[in-house]
Amino acid sequence: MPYLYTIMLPSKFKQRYRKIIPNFEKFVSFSKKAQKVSVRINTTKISTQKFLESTKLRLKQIPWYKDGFFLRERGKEGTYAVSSTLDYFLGRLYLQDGSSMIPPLVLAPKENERVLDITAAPGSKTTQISQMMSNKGVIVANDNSITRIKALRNNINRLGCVNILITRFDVFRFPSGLFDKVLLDAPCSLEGSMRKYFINWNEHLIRRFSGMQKRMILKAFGLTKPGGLLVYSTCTYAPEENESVVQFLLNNFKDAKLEQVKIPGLQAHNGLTKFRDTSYDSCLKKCARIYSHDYNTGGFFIAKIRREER
Amino acid sequence: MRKKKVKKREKKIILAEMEKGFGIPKEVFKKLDFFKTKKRVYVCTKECLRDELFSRAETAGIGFARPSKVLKPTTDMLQLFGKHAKKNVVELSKEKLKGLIKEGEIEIGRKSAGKQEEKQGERGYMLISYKKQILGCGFLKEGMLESKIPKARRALLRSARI
Repeated sequence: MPYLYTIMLPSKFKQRYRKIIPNFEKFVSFSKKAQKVSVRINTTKISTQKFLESTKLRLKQIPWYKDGFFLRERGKEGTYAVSSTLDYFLGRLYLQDGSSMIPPLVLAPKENERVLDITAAPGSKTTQISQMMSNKGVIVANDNSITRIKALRNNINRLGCVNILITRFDVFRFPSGLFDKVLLDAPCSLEGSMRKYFINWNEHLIRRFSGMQKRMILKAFGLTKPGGLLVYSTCTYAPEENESVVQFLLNNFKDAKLEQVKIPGLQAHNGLTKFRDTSYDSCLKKCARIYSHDYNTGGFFIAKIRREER
Repeated sequence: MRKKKVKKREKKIILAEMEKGFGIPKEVFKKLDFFKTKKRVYVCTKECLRDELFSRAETAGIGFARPSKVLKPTTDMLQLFGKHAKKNVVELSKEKLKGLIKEGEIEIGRKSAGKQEEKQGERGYMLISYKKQILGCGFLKEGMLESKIPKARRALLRSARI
């Protein structure tokens, strides 16, 4: 059950991030608080205005997304309040962390585009993309695990998304083809979701994920049309899994250009240009970092990469 | 999962059944298309069906109906398109709905089932509605309405504060 954990941060974790996370003491104090529960109104089934007129939930607008709302109740009480409503059964509501609503906003999909979510399950962002496309066009939602695909299918069915095609390929063996927009929400060490999932944090884990993410981003970029957009995101703070991965792509593809992540209503931190002994290009500042104490949500990293037309 | 595109003629039959059974106009599905597997008919956008990855995909869109003697519409489909239904919709009171969730079936009067005439042995699929919202599908047989909402979804409904 999500939203249950308050955590004690390992001392190595504190050492690692003390210098790069602004207002670090506040960050530490927030790790002991339950994070805000938030929901997305599924506009495929009901308009946000109509929903707000009829719901008994106590909601507060998320500043960066018109269909996203924070719940006044927190923790377990909040998730229960949502999942035990008739609206939830009817698929009008989806429990989704406020910061996880950001990558689809950066992707900004349009109705007539061909979109790929290459690591889609359980489908929070995929179904958000679906409603942003007004349930039209096509989104290819890929995941390689049967169990995770089952969860993805359940969410798609409950939310009524008819524009999603589910595939089950290993990311590295995804068939060649080109997409207008690609979302790579990469598997990561989950540091930004520590309050949601129990994780056994260690630096080993970070190194392992980093290698895999570098190979994944090359593959995802190869599937992006010239002129198209790739959004890379993780819910972790480790620069090895974030800026390093984007830098690796920029080093390997000259037609990859970083664009500024800018969402009205969202105040995010810039990407890093230095971590320990490693320096990154100054353009990495264009990436966005969201820390858990910024809005009491999960932490996130987002990069917006354009594939230039030659 | 072996998927086959639904041919034009079959599509016509499916849409005619939806119109005849529940009064859902075929125009509702104008921009959508259908494919089928051994057990189910699915509905998705035309772009999904035309996509080069369709033949290699696990699935697309949502389940639409289960073919048998008559098409049994899925809960997912009804929750999305049921608002267009004009007939065979049974509006339940709070007590009746609670009874249906608890027992799995309830007795309903003919009038509340939208049937004007008494007919012996009358049966068929009905749309279950509560406060004008389509919850899913039920089967009416001799005045008894049986819930056809899948088990997993029924659990969600059971925990919902109605």
